[in-house]
Amino acid sequence: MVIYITIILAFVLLQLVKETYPRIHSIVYTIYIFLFLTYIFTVLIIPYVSQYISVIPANLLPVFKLLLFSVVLLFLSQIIEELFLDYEYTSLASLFTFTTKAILLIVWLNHMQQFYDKFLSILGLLS
Amino acid sequence: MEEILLSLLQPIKEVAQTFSYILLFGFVFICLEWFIPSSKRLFKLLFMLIVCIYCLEPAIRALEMIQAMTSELVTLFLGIYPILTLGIAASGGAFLITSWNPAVMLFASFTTVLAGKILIPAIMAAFIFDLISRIHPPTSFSKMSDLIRLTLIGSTSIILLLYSIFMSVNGVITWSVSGTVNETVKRLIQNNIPFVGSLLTESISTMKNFSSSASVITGNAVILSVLMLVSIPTIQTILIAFLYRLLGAILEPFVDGNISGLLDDIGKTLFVLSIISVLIAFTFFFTIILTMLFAKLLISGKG
Repeated sequence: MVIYITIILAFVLLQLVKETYPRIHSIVYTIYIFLFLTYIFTVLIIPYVSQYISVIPANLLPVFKLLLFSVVLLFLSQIIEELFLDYEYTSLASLFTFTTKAILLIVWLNHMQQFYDKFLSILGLLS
Repeated sequence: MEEILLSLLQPIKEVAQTFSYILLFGFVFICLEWFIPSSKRLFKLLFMLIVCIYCLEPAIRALEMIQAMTSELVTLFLGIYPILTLGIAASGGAFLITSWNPAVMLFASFTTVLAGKILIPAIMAAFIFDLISRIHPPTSFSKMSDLIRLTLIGSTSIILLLYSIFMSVNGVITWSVSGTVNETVKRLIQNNIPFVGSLLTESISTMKNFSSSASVITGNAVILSVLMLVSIPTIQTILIAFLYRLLGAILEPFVDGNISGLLDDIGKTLFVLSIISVLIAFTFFFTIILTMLFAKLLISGKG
């Protein structure tokens, strides 16, 4: 509920800024987005996750942590990408998406090392 | 007995655990796809990777178990058979040894080597082809893995047929179960175990013929115990294969078709592995009986 009210209030204030000081509207909007994201992560996501993570079985925990990291990264990247696209910085948005994909790939490949080691050992048995 | 039961129940536990993991991850991924719909493809790929990490473990372990058994059996064959044959001949069993067809011994060692060097690696190749086909459907190797499975079933059936020919040369049928019951059990196995059911019944018949001739020497109770012991890996593999297919069938409405298809494919491949494990069981059985024969001859020679 707090988030809904914050968003509606922000919308009203941003509209006011747009009408009164149109030149600083974009910078205020960008700062607001980043501050709001920080607020969501520190007040909502991190406490909730640390509260419920103990429920997950120990052998699934690494995968769940990795999954959570991937989802948060994707969520952040999507919002920032849309912000870039709003101001028509298409190349920057593409670069951001590319970087996110690269990070996800590297992180998952590192995690899957045990699996592909086994896979390669099976391939070795074929020879 | 408890250890046998535990070893049979262990794969059920593992596959049940895998089932719960897949359901849990399936639910998580459905939520994530709803949450970030633009990354649906990425989530699908990640789900497949997670399924691979957690799902393939029991299947790979079954493969490794059969592989280890085969390699140990090859070493055993190379080491023990010349000594055993010599021992039987030396302990006055020269007349008895003629009733053992030497071709069987040669053939048994040949099938073990064949299973270790060609059949099991081919099963592994089928596994890998299935995995690639399901992870990246545009690069599908499903026909290749089907071909490998069919070829393996074909070659195993030929080997079993040859076994039955060798065994029937010496076989003295003294099986106590009546023909009607026997046929019913055969039909039951044929109809309920997919792909390899009929092959399995044939192999059981061959083993039965062989055990009938061997029971003259060792006694029925011993033969039954040995048969039970050697059939554990086969039963275990069939059980894992069934559970994989069951898992695929249960998960079909909830998860992506490729994931349930992958589980189904693993089940099919494990059924083929189970029939190869029959070959190993056969050879193992043959080794034990020969060792017992040697021991018996040694004791009677001393007496």
